[in-house]
Amino acid sequence: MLLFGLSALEQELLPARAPALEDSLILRVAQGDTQAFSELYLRAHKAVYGFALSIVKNQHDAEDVMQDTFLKVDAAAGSYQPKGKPMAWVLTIARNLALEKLRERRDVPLEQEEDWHLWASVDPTRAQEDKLALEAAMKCLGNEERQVVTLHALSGLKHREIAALLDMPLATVLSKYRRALLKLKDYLEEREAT
Amino acid sequence: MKEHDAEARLARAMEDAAPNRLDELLEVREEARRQEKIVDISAPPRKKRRRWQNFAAAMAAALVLVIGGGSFFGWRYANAPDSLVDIDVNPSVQLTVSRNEKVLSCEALNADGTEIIDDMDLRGSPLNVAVNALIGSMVQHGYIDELKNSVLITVANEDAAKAKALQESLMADISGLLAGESLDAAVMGQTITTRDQTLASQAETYGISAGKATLIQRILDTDPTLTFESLAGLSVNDLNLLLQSKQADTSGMTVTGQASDKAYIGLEKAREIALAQIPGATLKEIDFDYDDGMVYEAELLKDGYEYDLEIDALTGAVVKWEYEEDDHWSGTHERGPATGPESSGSGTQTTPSPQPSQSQQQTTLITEQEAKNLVLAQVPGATIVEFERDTDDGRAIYKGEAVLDGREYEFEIDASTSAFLKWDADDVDDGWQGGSSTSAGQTALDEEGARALVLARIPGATIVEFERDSDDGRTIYKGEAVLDGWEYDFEIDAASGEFIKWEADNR
Repeated sequence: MLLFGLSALEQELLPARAPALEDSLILRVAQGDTQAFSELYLRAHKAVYGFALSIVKNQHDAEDVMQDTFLKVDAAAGSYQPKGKPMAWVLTIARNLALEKLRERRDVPLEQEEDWHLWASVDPTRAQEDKLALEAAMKCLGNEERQVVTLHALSGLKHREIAALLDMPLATVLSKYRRALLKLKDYLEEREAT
Repeated sequence: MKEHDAEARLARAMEDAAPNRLDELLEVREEARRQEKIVDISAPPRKKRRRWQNFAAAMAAALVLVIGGGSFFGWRYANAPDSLVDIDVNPSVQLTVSRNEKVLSCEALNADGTEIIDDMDLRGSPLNVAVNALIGSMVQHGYIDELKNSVLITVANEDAAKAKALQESLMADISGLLAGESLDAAVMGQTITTRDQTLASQAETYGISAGKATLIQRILDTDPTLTFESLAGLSVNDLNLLLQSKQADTSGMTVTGQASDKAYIGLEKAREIALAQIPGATLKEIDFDYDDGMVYEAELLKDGYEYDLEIDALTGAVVKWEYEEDDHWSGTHERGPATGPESSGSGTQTTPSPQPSQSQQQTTLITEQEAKNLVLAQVPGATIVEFERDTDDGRAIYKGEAVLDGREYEFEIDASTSAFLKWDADDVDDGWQGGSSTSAGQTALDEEGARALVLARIPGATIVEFERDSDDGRTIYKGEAVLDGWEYDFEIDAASGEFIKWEADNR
């Protein structure tokens, strides 16, 4: 009982670090293995989506980027160099596509308030909390802070790998990460107290 | 609320917000595969929907120009703009060509192109004469030589057969012309029969020709981790080298000759440098690649460790060094992994590669004491039991043995560069708990010990991340340390004290 309680609590509180992907999975995708492709999608799509969302800042574009990323991954898997960093590779592709999307959209202003849609079926309390967290990330974090903290929360990448992916010095990533967490916490606490 | 709770909340919210559209994607993927099978393989590998607007607009603009001086219909017909010819080296030049292969206009697409055209007036001259003049000018201005020998010809015409014929005749002209200059040229040819709007706007954004943009897209299709932006600035010769090393899809292209890598240290030299870093290793793979600059990327295997090195293609300096346990390795590690070029205690990056800048420094050799200090910086508190000066391949080295806590360290140091040429750690006996051949039941390495091991390798470093974890049932310590612009990523087996991962990166 106690054990179950603990692990449930952990799941609730600890950042959901996605399990690392293996090189072999990408190699199977390269061979046209549909099952491997599906597995890759199921294991990585939330991290890809979250990262895309942290860049494009709206659910519609983030979904496009997510889908395009996996098509690119499928097409380019044959040239993947197995170096034990499939997640970083997938996310690099996602980043390129997300930045492309931003450039395309440059002239079209975003709607003021995103009406967050939660795909997972969650209870009303949790839904309320989720929406507040998303709002916090979009409103109170700088673009780079949001990307850093999202990558750390969802992808399982290390700070050093995040630095490489975002082309930033490690020290910058670390300070942005810490600042982002503080801002998030303050925002959430303030909103939930009222 | 703690800060980590805030992170967990964000993670959960984003996961709840992520849609699962796998089914839809699988359908699109199926559809794409079906189409791939029936698609004409000579078409450039990109995008199904294409637009004609810009191509048509360019034609219309050129048409106005011609009609302005037009006379009777036959003349106008023969002299109407028909093809666009892009010539890319680093200078990029675009020719608008009529049906009877006369040049209607000649436009520089970048600053180098302006220099090439200079004050030549090519309008009205036959296409092959104009191309000869342009290529001649490029050779004269030093844009084509034995270091950069690649030329890209792109012919755009709706009529695929005509485009192909024109492309081939131009390629033959140029190859002949460059052979006459005693240049071993690498000439690439491609045709564009339908316009790709996305690619056209990319080309416009970065001020390059549609031809060069198409070439870049081929490389990006094989390696989407690269960006259009980073490749747009490269010369056609560098792109050609990447095209070949990445084995990009060149269907529909004609590629003759071999891109010159003579401006770079070359694959052979890069191989030598890589092997000199880890003597006795097996070179698994070495490729030309792009990572904020042209590099050779080498993968080596030794004693169950896999090393990834990046060597600057221009200077031969090692700019990246990583190692990891080889997944396929089933034996035990007889010795620990080499610790990389950064293991010189000075913290400066030194490589044993012979570069001009380094040979100048070779006038001063470090003293015996300085060499000993370098060793002691690696293993503070050790006793040096053997020490001598020697020469190896004509260079002065110090070599010897040091002992600390039951481990024996064999070293060789280059006396001119302070670089470690050899660093082998071995157990003298099994008495030390951190030894690599520890038997079960001995006390595991504690956190302090693990930190000390890291700092012994990179004295003066700051450990910025450190955690205890388990991996395949064994307890490990992992984290990150930084020193002098290098970032180190490590994993240490708590039971044996062995480094199972050690990556160094200064990018």
